[in-house]
Amino acid sequence: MSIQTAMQARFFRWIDKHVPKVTQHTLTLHNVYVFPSRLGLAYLLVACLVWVLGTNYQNNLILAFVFLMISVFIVSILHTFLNLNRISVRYTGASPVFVGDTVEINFELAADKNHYGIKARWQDESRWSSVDVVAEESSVYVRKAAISVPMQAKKRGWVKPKRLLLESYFPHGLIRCWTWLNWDVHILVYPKPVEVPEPESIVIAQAGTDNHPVSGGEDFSGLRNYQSGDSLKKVAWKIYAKGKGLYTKEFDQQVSKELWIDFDSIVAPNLELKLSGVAYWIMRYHQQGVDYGLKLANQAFQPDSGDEHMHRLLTAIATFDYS
Amino acid sequence: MKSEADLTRFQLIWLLIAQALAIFPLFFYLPKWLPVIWFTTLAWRVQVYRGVWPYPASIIKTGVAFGCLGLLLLSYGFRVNVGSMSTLLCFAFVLKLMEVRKQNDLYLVIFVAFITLPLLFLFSTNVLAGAYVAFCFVFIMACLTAVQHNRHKRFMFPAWVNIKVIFQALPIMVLLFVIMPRLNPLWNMPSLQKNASTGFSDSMSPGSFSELIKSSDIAFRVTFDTNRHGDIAVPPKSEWYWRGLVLDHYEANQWTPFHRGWMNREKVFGADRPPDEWELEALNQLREYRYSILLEPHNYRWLFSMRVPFSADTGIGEVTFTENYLVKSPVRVNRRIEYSVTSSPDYSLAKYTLSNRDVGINTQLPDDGNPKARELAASWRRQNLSSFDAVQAALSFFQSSFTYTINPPPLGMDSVDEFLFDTQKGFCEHFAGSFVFLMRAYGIPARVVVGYQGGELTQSGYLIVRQSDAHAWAEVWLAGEGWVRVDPTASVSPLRIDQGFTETLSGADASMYWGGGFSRLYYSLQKNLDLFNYHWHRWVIEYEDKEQQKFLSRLLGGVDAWRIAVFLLGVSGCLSVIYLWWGGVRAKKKYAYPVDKHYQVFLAKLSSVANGSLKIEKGDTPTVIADKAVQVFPYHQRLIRDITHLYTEICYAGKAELLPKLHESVRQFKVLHLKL
Repeated sequence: MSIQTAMQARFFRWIDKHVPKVTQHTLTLHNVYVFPSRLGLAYLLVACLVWVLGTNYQNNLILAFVFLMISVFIVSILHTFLNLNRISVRYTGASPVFVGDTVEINFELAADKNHYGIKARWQDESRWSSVDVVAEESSVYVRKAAISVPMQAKKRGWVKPKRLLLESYFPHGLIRCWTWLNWDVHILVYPKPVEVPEPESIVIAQAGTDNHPVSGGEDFSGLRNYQSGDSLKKVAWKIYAKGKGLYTKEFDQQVSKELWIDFDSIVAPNLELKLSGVAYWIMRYHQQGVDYGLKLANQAFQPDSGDEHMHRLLTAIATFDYS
Repeated sequence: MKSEADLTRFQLIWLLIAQALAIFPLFFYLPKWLPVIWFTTLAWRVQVYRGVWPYPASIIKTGVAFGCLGLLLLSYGFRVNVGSMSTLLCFAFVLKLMEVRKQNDLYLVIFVAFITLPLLFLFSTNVLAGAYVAFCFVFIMACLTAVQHNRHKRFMFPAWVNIKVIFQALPIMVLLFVIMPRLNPLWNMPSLQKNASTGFSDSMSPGSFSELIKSSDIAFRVTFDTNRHGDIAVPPKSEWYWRGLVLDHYEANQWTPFHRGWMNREKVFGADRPPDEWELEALNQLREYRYSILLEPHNYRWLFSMRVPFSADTGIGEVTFTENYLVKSPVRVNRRIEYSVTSSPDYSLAKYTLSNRDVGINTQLPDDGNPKARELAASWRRQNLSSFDAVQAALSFFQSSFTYTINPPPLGMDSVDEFLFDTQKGFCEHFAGSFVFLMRAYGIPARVVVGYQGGELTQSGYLIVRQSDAHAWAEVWLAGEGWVRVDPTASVSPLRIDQGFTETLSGADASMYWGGGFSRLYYSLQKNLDLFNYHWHRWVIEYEDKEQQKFLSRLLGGVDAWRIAVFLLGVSGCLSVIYLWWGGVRAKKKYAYPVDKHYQVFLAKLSSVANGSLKIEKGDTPTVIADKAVQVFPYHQRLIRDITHLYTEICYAGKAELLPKLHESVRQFKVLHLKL
């Protein structure tokens, strides 16, 4: 077993040296390997049995049958190779996921002839994706097929997928034709959201005269028409942006509080769980549709809302490095 | 390859088709209960697939398996032969179908099919069987293909793929067939179910030929080769006596070979030529015939040859010569063999004497019986006839009032007497047997020879000898001349010898033999088919060591292993390159953008007509080309611009729907009479 492992390690070192990390591969004689599959070896064994039958009965037709089996096997080698040869595999992206989720990494296969039964999986992954690259309509000159290969997201941050195994047994399953592809691809994995107690929001005194004592109230009570002199910070800009006029946000108490997720205030046993807690509250506030900000160790993100904001924050915690 | 997915509907259908095709022909040779089992299993499997019935419980499966074993024992007992083994395999093959759920199970069934399918060749080796198996092979391979792709919309797709694959595999198969060495059997296999041996047996009694003569089965085929003068010499019809067996012992109305004691059943000489001490010599080299005989299996050891064989050669081991100038195979002929012989009817022997023992053997008669025949011989003796005259007397006796018929009346105890003096109706064996009896009664050493006489010369120059040509004649010993062939049948029915058997018959006999006009049509059809069959057998079925070596040494200049290896590698390398080229280059051409195809036609027309005045550089865009072309052919500006516009629209704006328009415009452009 250890010899096998060592051999495998050696093989992959060789692969890494010969298969560059790029975002597009074209399969050729140089990076495609061909070998009989287990089924193919069994097939040859059956051919041997039939050969013994033919030899013992001195029956030329049975021998001819064996020779047909063998020659089909030989032709199958070429067919299986040609079925993987000259396919271009292009990385087309992957959406970010949380740790523990499955990231679907997308590729596009393009070829100028039909290719069948192409299967792909990541090294260390057991799930296969399978696709045929064929022309759907006669007017399509280059055959294209999209394939997304699932990968388990195991840790947060920028994850580099291992080698991609692309293989095909077409047409008979007797021959395995495969290739290992290295990718210059980074996939962002966010920390997995884990519920923790709500972090204390930072109450920030509004710059200005009287109306923001540092105390509890945060209740937004309504809008009133803008009067000159009102703080510009209290203008309901969103409503203004919709072209409905200028309003001032009124608060019951003249105090306000902005939602800030303060990394330091998250209660969790370790750094990773703290980040998970941050992720949880980012998702939570995002769902509520409120503005929220994030204070990380040395950076702060002003309160805002929206998908882009959420992803920016999640990216920040995904790539957060404490040191 | 592990594939734990369930079988899809298409995969199951492919499997059922492949299996049905693979075992169908065996139904003709195997017990009748097998199709019943197959059909039941098939119905059950389909119901399982439809979800109507469950998979059978293991107790049912066990029960069915034991039931089948029981039926197998009923049909075959404990005999291990090809029939019982094939049946066992077949029902295992059929029952396995019940268990097929996953794609991996399918592989097992397919592998059994690979073994079951060629079993047909043990029962039948004709062209049709060959074609059928090749046809089935496509479907079995299609089954494998059905697992390997994701397009399950196109049901026939796996078959098309495999038809292509098998056509590409055929050259390699032929190569392997020609080149691969044939080994001797590795061990003894259970014998083939042979129906009783065909042809005659090693004894002859009145009536024993009558069934044989009605059979149009082929006994053997003869091809005449070039002799040492380089001519293909075909002996005259009168020499077409194919000797098979000498019967020199008469007892209880039956002629058999003399039993020469357990030590030396029959004096047999090894080697491929007669023993030197015979000092056998061909007198007339112009009358030397070389021929090879493709003999159908008859399960005996005797081979057939013309008189007298000087040398013989066979692929199955050394031919042996007997003292009766017969050639024998070292083993029973239970498959079709081919051997070659050199014969000459004119020969000289060192000594023309018979030993006393041989005289005794060849004049032996039972102590009593057939008194009238003995009396006839005695009357000749009283007239003091010489041996030669006695032969003539016997022949003229036959000529007087005998009739040749294949429906002779039955004969009783003294069969020779009854035939000679009462019925006087019979065919070769009656004539030959009673003639030899008369000769022996007279005191001349004589013996019966059985074999075939005649044959049918086909247009391609080979001779077909059928069972209906079976014949018996006599040989008598004449001092100073040795054994002389005498055919008493010829003196009764000379046509029988000159024209062959089938043309001799008339009236009732003929209609009985032919069974009406339809049979005649069938017969002529059969004759044409036989030419094909002959070559099939000669070049495919019987392509054995000898032919292989001959062929290879002509092809490669030798049969050394390295020559074969180099040739095999060379040819398969070439084939691989061709296939790769096909898969790569040709595919590219085939799938090149149709839009380019049309545009290339347009460019070709332009450059052929412009004759050098239009210079297209390598990097020119279609628009640049159009500008240049318009300068050369200003009258066709509109069409040139149109084509260019359509081309760019299709290529760069993806408007594939404009393709027919482009095609039409290019076609218009192509038929223009462009003038500079």
